[in-house]
Formats: sequence, structure tokens, C-alpha cells
Amino acid sequence: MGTLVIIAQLILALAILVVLHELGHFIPAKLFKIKVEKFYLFFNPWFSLFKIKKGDTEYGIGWLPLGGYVKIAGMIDESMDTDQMKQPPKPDEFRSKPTWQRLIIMIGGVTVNILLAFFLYAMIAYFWGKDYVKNQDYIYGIEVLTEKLEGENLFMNGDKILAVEGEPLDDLMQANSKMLINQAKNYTVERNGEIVEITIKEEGVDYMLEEENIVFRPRIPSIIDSVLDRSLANKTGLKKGDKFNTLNGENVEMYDDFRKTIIQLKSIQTDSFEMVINRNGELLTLSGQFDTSYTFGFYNVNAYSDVFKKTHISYTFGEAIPEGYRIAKKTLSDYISQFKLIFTKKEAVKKVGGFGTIAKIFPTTWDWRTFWSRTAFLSVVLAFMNILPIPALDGGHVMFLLYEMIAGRPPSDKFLEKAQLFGFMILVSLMLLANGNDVYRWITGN
Amino acid sequence: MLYYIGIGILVLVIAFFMAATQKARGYNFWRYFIVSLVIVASIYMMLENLVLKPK
Repeated sequence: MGTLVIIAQLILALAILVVLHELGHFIPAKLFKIKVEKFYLFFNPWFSLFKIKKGDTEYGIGWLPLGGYVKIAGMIDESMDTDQMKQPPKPDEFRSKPTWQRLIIMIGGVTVNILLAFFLYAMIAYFWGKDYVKNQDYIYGIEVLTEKLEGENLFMNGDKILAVEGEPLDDLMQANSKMLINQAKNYTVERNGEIVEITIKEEGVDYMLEEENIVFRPRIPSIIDSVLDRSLANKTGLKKGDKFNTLNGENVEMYDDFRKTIIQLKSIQTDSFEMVINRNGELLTLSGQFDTSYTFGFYNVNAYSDVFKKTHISYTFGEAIPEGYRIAKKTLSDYISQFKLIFTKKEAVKKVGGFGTIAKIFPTTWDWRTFWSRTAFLSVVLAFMNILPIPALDGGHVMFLLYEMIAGRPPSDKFLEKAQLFGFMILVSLMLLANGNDVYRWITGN
Repeated sequence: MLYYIGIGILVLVIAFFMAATQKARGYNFWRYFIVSLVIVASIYMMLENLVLKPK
């Protein structure tokens, strides 16, 4: 059922994005009185699921959900309609129109995607606001998830990150993205009441790319959220809300210490345990015998539990608009920074994902806030990928139109045809890389 | 062996879908299928040597 929900979300998001992107080309083309032969959501090789002809244009829905297209008369695109191009230009064809009109048509799709992302982020802010835990409210500081960044001169569990590259940190999770995306090197932390300046190299980026994990997460106290039936925790008499103090003499008030202590006890095959817990302010000593799994069988509270004070920000309509703009801009700049990693970090090439990876950004349950947020993100991705100066993509057409504006004449049709084929080859390669990685990960389980 | 059969099927599937998107626009499926097949297979061989390096 979860998989069906993911597929439904992916197809709905793609349908919205493709229709609006193609409308971005279609509307200006119609305004400039250019003949548009086809407008299709999804591709329709051999047959269409639905089609209707109105005026000059055939509107339809294809069966292959890899995108969509508008077929504009007199335009060299990846379809390479060379027969049409051999005829003299007609007044209602793309190639007869001035360069500025053709440029508007070509950037229309990407412009709509950017505007859509901005609109969606603004509406999410207006209708749902923002819920998060402020960095300062993670009162136990951070837990460092890799030994590569742990130490006196690096980070330590319990540190509070105050600033990254001199900028105050409001959301702790931003410390991870700044390390990965912006390759931030300088951190200001508070350690035992003192301010410590930390400078790192690229250990964090390498770790995150290799392990597909974050570096920091909030440090969480050892407090039981729920106890599993027929578990050692239940047998020992542990209850929801119990706070751990010590386990076999070791301080385990923090959950990372609790986990480390269990690993240590398991490594020396300790049979029995004695723990001190705090139940409603009263200290209790409990004891028992470990089983072979060394698992107690309880869920600890998490970073989003009531242990931490949550902040909700509401936006008026007027406030939601600049917030939408800010998020769309940040999403785009973060995506561009991540894209650059492909060329600078070998590990990043393996993290490029195709349709499987895109599908995974949707949750297994339907939640409209998440759905619109992910759709807005995909809209940014679609805009960026489409404006890359690769022939056969919108950006390739824009590149040649700009050349025409500067040089005063267009590249020859023969050159354009060859460039389109070259661009098509690049697209096929990208498809292989992205989807090949998905399949490789699926086969190897990584 | 299973690995290479999987890769072969993947190469065929990607080439098929890429050519199918061109067919949708009314152009020759087989021309694009063969072009896609050659590119996908060559890029795979490059990737295998440069990036994946299966043991």
C-alpha cells in the first residue's frame, strides 16, 4: 500500500509539473501566433490514453510518464523534424519569429517552474506555517555521529553549535546542510560554558557522501517513550517516562552514552546489570540478567518529542510571499551547490539518483503539506536541469538563441541538428547514470 | 553473470524508453533505439572502468 501511495504522489507531482512547464512554452507560443501541433502530458509512442484536437493543436495524455512535450511548428528540437525544416518558413512557424519571441517561448517552461516553486513554498508557509525546534532549545547540545569529527580540537557530544562561518545557527539541522552543501569549515561552539572555535577540513563532506548520513543530531536524554511487551525492559519493571541515571556504574543520562555502555557490556559479555533510574523524582535501583541480544526492548524519546520546546511560526499572506521567495531561492542555490559536488567529489557521482530516488522523497502516507513541499522541490530541480546549456534541453535552445542575438545570425540547421543529436546522447548518458545508480543501489542493498 | 544480465536488461530498457519518447513525437523509433543502445552501452563500459569498478 505504501508503495502505491508513493507512486501515486510521484505521478501526480510529475503531471502537475509537466503540464505547467509545457504551458510555459505553449501560452507564449499561442500569444505570438505560432502553430502548436501537439500538447502532451506524458509521452505517447504508438498510442495515446486520450487525445482531442482543438484548432491546430492535438491535446492528449500519453502512457509513458517520463515527461511531456509541446510540438511547436518550425522548431529544431530533439525530434529533429528535418522534413519540415526543408520547406520554406511559414509565418506561423517558430523559425519565422523574431529572436526575442523565441527566447520568451524557450524560457517560459523554466520560468513557470521557478514561479510555481515560489508560489507553493509561500502557500505552505501561509496555510501551515513552520514547526521546528530552535537550535537553542536543544538544551543537551549535539551528538556527533562520526569519529572522524570527534575530539578535543573537533566536536564533542554535548557541544552547542552557536554559529557556522560566523552566522548564528537557528536550526540545528542546517549545520549538516551547511557542512555538506556550502562546505562550511568554521564553527563556533559552546563547550562546558566556554566558547570554542573549530576549523575542519573536508571530513564531514566525505563522511556524509560515503555513509549517506548526517554528522550532527540533537543529543537526547535517556528517557523511555514506550516499553515493548515481553521485553527485558518490561520484565525489569521499566516504565514510560523513566529516566536513566547509571547502568553498571556508568553515567547513562544521555542516550548516546546508554548505547555506548550497552556495546561495552556486550563486548565483555557481562551477564547481569544494575541500573539507577529516576521515576517521578524518586531514584530506584533495578537489576536483572542480560539475554544474548543485549537488547532491553524500549523506545527512547526522540528529537521531536515533548522533551524539547517546539516553535511554531505563523505567516500572514503578506509575510508568506517573501518567505516563499526566500525558501525557493535557498532551495535553488543549495541544489546548484550539490550539483557542483558531482564534479568535485567522486563519491557524489554515485549518489546521483533517477526515478527511484525521486520517488523516495515522497513518504509512504499521504500528507498534503509534504506532498506540496516535495513538488515545489522537484519544480526547482526541473527548472535547473532544464536550463543547463545542453542541446535538446531548454537551456540548449536558449544558448543558441543568445548566440543568434550576439552574432546576428543563427547557427546553421545542420549544426543545430548535430547539436541536438549530441544533446540527446548526453541525456541518454545522464539517464543511465541516474537510473543505473538506483538499480545498483537496489541490487547491492546500499 | 546475473550482474551482467541485469545490466544488459537495464541498457535495453533505458534505450527503449529514450527511443519511445522520440517515437511519441512522430519520428523513427529504431533509429533512436540503436543510437540510444550504442550510447548507453558505451557509457556503461566507461562508468564500469572509471567509477563502479565491480570486484
